[in-house]
Amino acid sequence: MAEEKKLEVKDLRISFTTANGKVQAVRDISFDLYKGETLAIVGESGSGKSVTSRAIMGILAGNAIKEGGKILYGDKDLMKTSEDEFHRIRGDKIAMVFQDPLSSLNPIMRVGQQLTEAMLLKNKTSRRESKVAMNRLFKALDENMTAAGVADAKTDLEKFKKFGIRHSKLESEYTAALDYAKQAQAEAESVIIHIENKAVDKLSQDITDFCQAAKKSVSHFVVRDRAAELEALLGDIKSKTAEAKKSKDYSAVLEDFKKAKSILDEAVSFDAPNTFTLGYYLTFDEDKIPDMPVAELNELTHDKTENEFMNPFMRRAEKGVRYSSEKTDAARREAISILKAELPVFEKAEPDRKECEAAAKKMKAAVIKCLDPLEVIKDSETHTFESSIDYAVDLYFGGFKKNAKEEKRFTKATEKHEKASRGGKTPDWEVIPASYINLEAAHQDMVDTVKDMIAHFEAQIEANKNADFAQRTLDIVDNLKEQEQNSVYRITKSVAREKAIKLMESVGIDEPRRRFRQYPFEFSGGMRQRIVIAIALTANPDILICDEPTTALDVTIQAQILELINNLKRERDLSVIFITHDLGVVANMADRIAVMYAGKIVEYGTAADIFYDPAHPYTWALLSSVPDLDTKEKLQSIPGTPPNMIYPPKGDAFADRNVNALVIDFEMQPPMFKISDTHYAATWLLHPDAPKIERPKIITERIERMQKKRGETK
Amino acid sequence: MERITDILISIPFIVVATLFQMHLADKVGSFVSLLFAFITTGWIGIASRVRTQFYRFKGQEYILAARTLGASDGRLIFRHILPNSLGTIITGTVLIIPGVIFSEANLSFLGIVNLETSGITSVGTLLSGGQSYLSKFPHMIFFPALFISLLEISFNLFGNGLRDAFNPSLRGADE
Amino acid sequence: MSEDNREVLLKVEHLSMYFGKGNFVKKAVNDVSFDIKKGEVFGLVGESGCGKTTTGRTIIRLYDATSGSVYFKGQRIVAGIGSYVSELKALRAERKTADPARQAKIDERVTELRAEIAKAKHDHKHAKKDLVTKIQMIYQDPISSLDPRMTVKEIIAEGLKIQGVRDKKLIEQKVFEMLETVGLVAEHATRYPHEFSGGQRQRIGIARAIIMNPEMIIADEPISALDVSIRAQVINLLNDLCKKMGLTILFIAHDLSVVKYFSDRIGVMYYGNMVELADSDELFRHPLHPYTRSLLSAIPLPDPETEKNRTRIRYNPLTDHEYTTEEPEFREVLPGHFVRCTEKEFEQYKKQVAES
Repeated sequence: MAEEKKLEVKDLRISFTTANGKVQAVRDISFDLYKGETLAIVGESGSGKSVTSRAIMGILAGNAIKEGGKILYGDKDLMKTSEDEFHRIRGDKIAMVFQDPLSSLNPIMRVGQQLTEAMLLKNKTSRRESKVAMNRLFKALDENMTAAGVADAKTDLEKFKKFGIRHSKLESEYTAALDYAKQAQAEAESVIIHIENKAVDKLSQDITDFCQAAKKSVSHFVVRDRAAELEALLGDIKSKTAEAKKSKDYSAVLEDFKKAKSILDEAVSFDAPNTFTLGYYLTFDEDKIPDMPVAELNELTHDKTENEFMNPFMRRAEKGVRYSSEKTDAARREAISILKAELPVFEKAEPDRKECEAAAKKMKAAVIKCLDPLEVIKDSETHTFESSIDYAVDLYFGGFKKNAKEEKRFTKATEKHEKASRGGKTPDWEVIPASYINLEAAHQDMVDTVKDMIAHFEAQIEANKNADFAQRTLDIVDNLKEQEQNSVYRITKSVAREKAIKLMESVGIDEPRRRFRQYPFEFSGGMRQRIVIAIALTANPDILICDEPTTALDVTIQAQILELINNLKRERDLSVIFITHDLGVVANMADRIAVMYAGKIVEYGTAADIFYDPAHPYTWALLSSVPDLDTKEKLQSIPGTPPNMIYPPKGDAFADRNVNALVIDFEMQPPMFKISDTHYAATWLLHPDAPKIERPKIITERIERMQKKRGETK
Repeated sequence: MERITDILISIPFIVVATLFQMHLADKVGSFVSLLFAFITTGWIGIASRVRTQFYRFKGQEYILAARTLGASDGRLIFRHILPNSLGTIITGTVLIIPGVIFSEANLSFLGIVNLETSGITSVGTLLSGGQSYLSKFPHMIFFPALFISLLEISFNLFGNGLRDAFNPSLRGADE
Repeated sequence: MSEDNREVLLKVEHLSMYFGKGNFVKKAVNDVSFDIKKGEVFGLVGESGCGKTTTGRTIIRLYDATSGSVYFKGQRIVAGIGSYVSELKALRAERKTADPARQAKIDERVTELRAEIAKAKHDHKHAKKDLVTKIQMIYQDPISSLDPRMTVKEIIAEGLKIQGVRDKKLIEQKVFEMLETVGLVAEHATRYPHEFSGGQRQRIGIARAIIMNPEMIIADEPISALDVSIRAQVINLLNDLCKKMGLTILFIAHDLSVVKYFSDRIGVMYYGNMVELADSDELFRHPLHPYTRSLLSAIPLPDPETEKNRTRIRYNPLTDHEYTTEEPEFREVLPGHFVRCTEKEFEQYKKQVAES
């Protein structure tokens, strides 16, 4: 599937230095996160799942050592990004929801303020950034189009900019009015229910809110024809509310509310206008919107825009894109030859530092030229080559020095230990084992970085031969539209406040207006967690990492929060990494699952793969220790505890607790065996020579039951 | 009890010391009256700190658990709350000592309390005496000042060390 | 439907626990009644804030009940005077405007009530200590329920020491016995709680409870704070102990699949009221109250297909019930299956059950 990968983790290795030695928390894991998908990482405490998520966010503890691997996000390698750059990524592109809501909120700031603060700040920076990105893209387009021989590229782009801004304004007006209409609709519904059930205590505030929202929903495309009627009703409601408050009899108002609600219901179900084409129409044709039904209007403006502007523009832009791509291809070919020429310097058995550094400099200069300014999907490999090669060279040559120091320390410590134990009593401190940098692996790393780059460029040149430039141009235009919208979309304090209140409602906090001004200590744990999720979502991130967010909450609230995350994922096209140890939650949320144990991924596949066809004994053990509604027999618990990661076991880490362990499990670590294109497991049981072991009965029965149910419903 | 301590803590110490001096010094000697002043005011700070500690631990679940097992209030206080709060209490107590030393030096420097009459040399008196010779014989100020600084610093370090020693990581108080 | 002739061990009658006074009263538990028979596991479920923990703590006398009573083995151990006091107030107000015959009756009733109040106060204050210690509690948070400055041995032996046992050897022997029963080793006795994992700490808590030889254990969400893979261990342990020692367990939780696996009968609470009470299988077969149905639809199952197509039923107390004309009461729809409903809903539910 040619899905876009949002995040690629390759061969990640992280350890921690502690007083007792080096704890190898994450040993060589790789996974991909695709756009719009949820990846669930399942494992016990101590399996390394939290460490992985923190490495992605760049918030590892001070005593963490990044041993190796890459985390590719867009055009950055998150393992090597500096703290300054991380500020722009964290919260904005990648947001995180933590497990403990108590410590995730600022206790002396009101909750509403924490929500809106994030929104206002991010809005400012995102407007600035969008403007910068948009201008950069325009400039690149201009250069390349002119270079490709297109005449008057500038005027085309100026036209685009002009009506683009108009379009964004229209769009924001329309969405605002629609939001207000929807809000008024919801408020009306709840007021009607409250009146009918005689729960009238807090109604007056709700009614005022409704009136405000309904008024703001009057616009050209929402509530237009019946606007006068709505205004009359609102006036009526206002006057009747005052007396109803005193007499506590709201029945007169009820009728008005029902009528108003019907108007709003109608308004909300109207067709949406195509503001892009409408913007063009208004900027270059007429200056007022013609009076016709929305569907017809859309058609008219669409035709006009397409024929008069978009089609010729696309053709000309395509020429520019093609030119830029060819230029980059030429640069790539040159880079390949330089890389190939410099490779022997690294492949030597005893590379020389000065030579390597000079070679690296030449290679970096060549690679930098291979960045296509008109690319929408960033090529992370090319962007991160510079830091990768620098890091690899430093690691190798620094390793000589470090290993000598480590050797000295270790011999001294062992001598001291021996002297002390010769005196009779063995001292109760142990010698911390020496941690050497593997020089061979570092050397290989250097060579591999260059080789990978060569392969990558060759693949790109191949792919470019059959590239669909029309599609690429379309992508660029879409991107431009998006940037424009972001640069014009301004959030004022009151808008932010309304958004925050709506967000609080959607995460399930009742009476959000009252709670907006409260402090975090006035909320219960479940409520606090919902606020944390709301804050994480205010900035519209690309990736959301949830580190066991619902572990402390109970079932109904957990179900609500999971529903919320799923809805938001669909609406905003988020990619979610969900860390948990509850398999029921995983079944609900995940598209792909990675099961982790002792720092390694032991099984990786889609949800159907893992639940209907589990292959690793650890997955079997996890599945059989969870009772579902039909379990009657004794639960199979996993005996023992996870291993001590300071001295990780030589073979398969799970062998100790595995009833089905083979002898080879204690000797060698199993590689990832491929079961299908999407399903991988690291267990010797999948080796063609391994004995056939049946899954535990409890699992096979459950799978049968589930399949029967599926057969029935289908 | 809290209100009483709140009221008492607002009485400035110098006023108390001066009053005690004025009325008791001729009867029992200035040293003993100073002692009385310190004793009557010194317990207030510790009292509120102990109270905070007890409130902090009273709501913990293991106290409830002990109550279900049938523990009496006395047992709860002495076997559960006190050992947990001992660390903070002792550290607080030890850190009062530098405060007392400093107040005494202050009072003798200002001349409110004259311990010479009881036959005790005080750093404060030395300092005030040496003040007038500051330009000619600076060492008269230097050595008492050095002495009192070292005394303060060593008690502070001791208090800090105690605080670290009672730290959770050693006996696992809170994680 | 099994006819249980087992003796009723714990009887909770119209228990209410209110916090605060006047307009700001919070009705944590509001008129809850149920029985627990000897040897059964009774599950109490509901969302956080619904009053299940408060119920458990009131039964074990950590809070003073506002009104209602709790009988353990026939003896009253918790008595609240709230209902009597409010009746007294109402009667006194009525007395002012009543005729002499009625006044005489009111005076009679007043003296009756006064006697009840005195008896309740006496019962509550002088509940027999050795009877009360037969009910023990296991707490939710394994970290904060163990005193961090006591060794494991001291923690477990505390109960014995409070009872007055002084013989060190006997204490040691009992402690080692308990450690073995819960699956730990004797050498763990000299360590401190922070050196153990969550599951092991919970076992220490269980050991502390069972060393008192209780007849009933109230388990307040003992597994919510543990990893899923360790929950199975603790559940198996509780199951074994229940069978070996003939314990009765009041299991408070919010994870319904575990509750169904483990309990014989289940009571569902919502904002202080008990809304449904039935055998576990029966409850899952015929969930009647809308809240129960919404709760059941929220349980995550380890089956991706059903999960993706599952829609959660929402429960809105304002729309799902008509409580304006009639106050709901706890009625028996089927033998052993109680639901809190009005007369109209009662008929509805009966029809529902007959059809399914």
